[in-house]
Amino acid sequence: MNFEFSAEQQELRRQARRFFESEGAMGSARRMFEGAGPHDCELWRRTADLGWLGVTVAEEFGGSALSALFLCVIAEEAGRSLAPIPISSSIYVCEQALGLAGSRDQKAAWLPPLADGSAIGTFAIAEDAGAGGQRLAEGRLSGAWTVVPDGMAADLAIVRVRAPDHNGASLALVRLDMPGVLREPVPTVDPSRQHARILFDNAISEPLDAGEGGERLWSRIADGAAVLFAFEAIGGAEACLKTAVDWASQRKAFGRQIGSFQAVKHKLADIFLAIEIARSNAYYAAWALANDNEALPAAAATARLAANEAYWMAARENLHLHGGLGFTQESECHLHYRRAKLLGVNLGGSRAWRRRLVTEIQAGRTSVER
Amino acid sequence: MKITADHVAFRDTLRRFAEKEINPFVEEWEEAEIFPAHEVFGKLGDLGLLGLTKPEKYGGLGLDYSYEVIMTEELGRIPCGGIPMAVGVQTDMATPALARFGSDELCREFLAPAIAGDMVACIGVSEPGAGSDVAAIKTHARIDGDDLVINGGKLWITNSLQADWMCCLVNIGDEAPHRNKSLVIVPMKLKGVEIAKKIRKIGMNSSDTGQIFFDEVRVPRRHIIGEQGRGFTYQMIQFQEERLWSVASALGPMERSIEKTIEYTRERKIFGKPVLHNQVVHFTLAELQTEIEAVRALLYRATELYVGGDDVTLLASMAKLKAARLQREVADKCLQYWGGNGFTWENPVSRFYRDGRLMSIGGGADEVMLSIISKKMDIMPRPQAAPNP
Repeated sequence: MNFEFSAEQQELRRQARRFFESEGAMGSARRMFEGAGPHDCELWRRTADLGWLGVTVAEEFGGSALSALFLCVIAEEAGRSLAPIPISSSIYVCEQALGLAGSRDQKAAWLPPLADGSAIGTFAIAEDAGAGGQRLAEGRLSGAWTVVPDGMAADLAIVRVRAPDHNGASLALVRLDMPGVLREPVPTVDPSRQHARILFDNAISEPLDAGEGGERLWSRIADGAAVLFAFEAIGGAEACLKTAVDWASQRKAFGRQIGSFQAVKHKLADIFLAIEIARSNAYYAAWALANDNEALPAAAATARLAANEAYWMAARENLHLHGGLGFTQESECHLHYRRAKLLGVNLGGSRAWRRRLVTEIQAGRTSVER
Repeated sequence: MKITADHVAFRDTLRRFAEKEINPFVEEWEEAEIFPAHEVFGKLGDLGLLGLTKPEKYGGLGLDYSYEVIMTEELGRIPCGGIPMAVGVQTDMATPALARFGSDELCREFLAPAIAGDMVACIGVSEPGAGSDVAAIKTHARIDGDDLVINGGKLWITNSLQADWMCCLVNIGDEAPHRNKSLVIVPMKLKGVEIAKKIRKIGMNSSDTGQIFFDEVRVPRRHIIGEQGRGFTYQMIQFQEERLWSVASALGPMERSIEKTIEYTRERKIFGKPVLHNQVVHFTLAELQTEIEAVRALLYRATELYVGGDDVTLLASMAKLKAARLQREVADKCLQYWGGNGFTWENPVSRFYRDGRLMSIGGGADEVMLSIISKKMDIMPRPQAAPNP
């Protein structure tokens, strides 16, 4: 078992960090926050040009056929810079899902445009509770789903359609530019990443879960995505810690650097600790993902929970440490504060993931048991 | 809740008493894992301190519950948890239902001597198979003419090695669990009452804890407190005082731990300065003191409402939950600042660390408090509903 990233992957990390910095991803996140667009299209195109959106896609579909570990590295750096691009929806979830379960035709149709960024994919798992009446029959999908990430810009969505009694589900692949698809923006806590409510009215769809059962397939998709989400969160958490440490070293109060107060420096140490724990969990989960190991479900849940916790703590404390400044929109603090919340709920909240972890522990499928 | 000159007078009386009659012997009693309850209670009874809120016709002082709260806070200044707990069992756990619902005859026979300190009382609710889940108790009594014949047993019973009587929760008949229970006064010297063992505990050592078995124990039916079948309700009412008492009893040890820790860390130097001068130390102590005051405010509010005749089950449960958790936190954090000393047996904070662990378990565990609060908020699923997904 080797938990180290390879020299190549480390090099990609350096490159990605430089790239997102020089592209001004953070400034772009602020512009998107202020309403400049659903996401930064230019940054998305340039990221695609580097081949980073298709690193794990098979060569025959325009990708580089590399291990998921490469994608973990990119996710971390995207998180660090708050890059306002639909990478989590389109790549961590939609593209990975097609790679995992798509038919040959589905792969041929969608993987190349997803990998070169010309198409954007997303996923819809939250039924709009008020609407009701979600149904899927004979290739036609009806019903409303809400808080669909990047839903206004996406060309394609994987929609989880649960049976009325929530016993079992199907995954439907739906083109969003077809008749019978209506969408409207849904404001969320993080306006730098736009979300949508999508109403399907007898929209054409095709099944993604041939033979496997949608609930089970969704779990597999979510496990892989959770690892990538975790890396993105860890990147964000580290950015918050760095900002906090810089600020604590520079800002003076009562005649001293505020970082010299134990109430401040111990807090910074606690954040560091939370991040390191999350990182260890994420490395293990990345290893399980890259090696298709049976520990993945438990490892992915653990990584996701730990990373969300670390990001939330780092973002919250960073904002608090900046005092009045942290409470203003001019500071960057609130952008992370919002993103941390967003990443925490996008793939299902912590309660759902805790429950998932409990299921794995009960089934004895955790590393502890072996 | 207003603290009057009368409250202060009682507090001072108790303080002087404790300094002379209790504190000098605490080490000895802790070592012996028991204390002379009849002797100590007799003296407390002479001062009227065992019946502050009880009716005057049975020797009580007929004061409102705020006096009990102030007295219990002061009891908490005693340098161990066991003695205050033993007193609390006598005044606030074993006797409230008797005083409120018991017949005149029963009160004269058992309540009056408990208030005088001539008899030691204990409360029998928990059993091997039912602690916090009171409805699940198995001890039962069958009616035989004018008598009850009791079989079963009780566990974790404070004062039981010395007690003269137990306020015992038993099932009579086959009604539903909430309607078949009665509180019965069981004299402990009767045939068939076996004090099976003295239980060793991690703390509260000066207070004795026993396991009791009942084998065909015969008591008159008139020993039932109030109406037969209302025992569960009476016990739930009685629990209000037990819980308010618990909260009041926690304040003293918490504050004493903080004071002792301040004294120690002010003297103790590390890296050239007093430990207390580390921000993490004085900030932590400041925050804990703040939380103690918040719990006190909640206790006083609940007490005021209780004195006014309200049902305070919700507030009392909230206060107990918070106080119990805070007690553990205060003990743990204070102990840390004593370094190696904190880990030793005789350290004042380490005793509190051990004694204070009980409150989250006894008198309804933290989880039971959460259930009660959930029920009162009407967010607890009904038993027949599907389990959590």
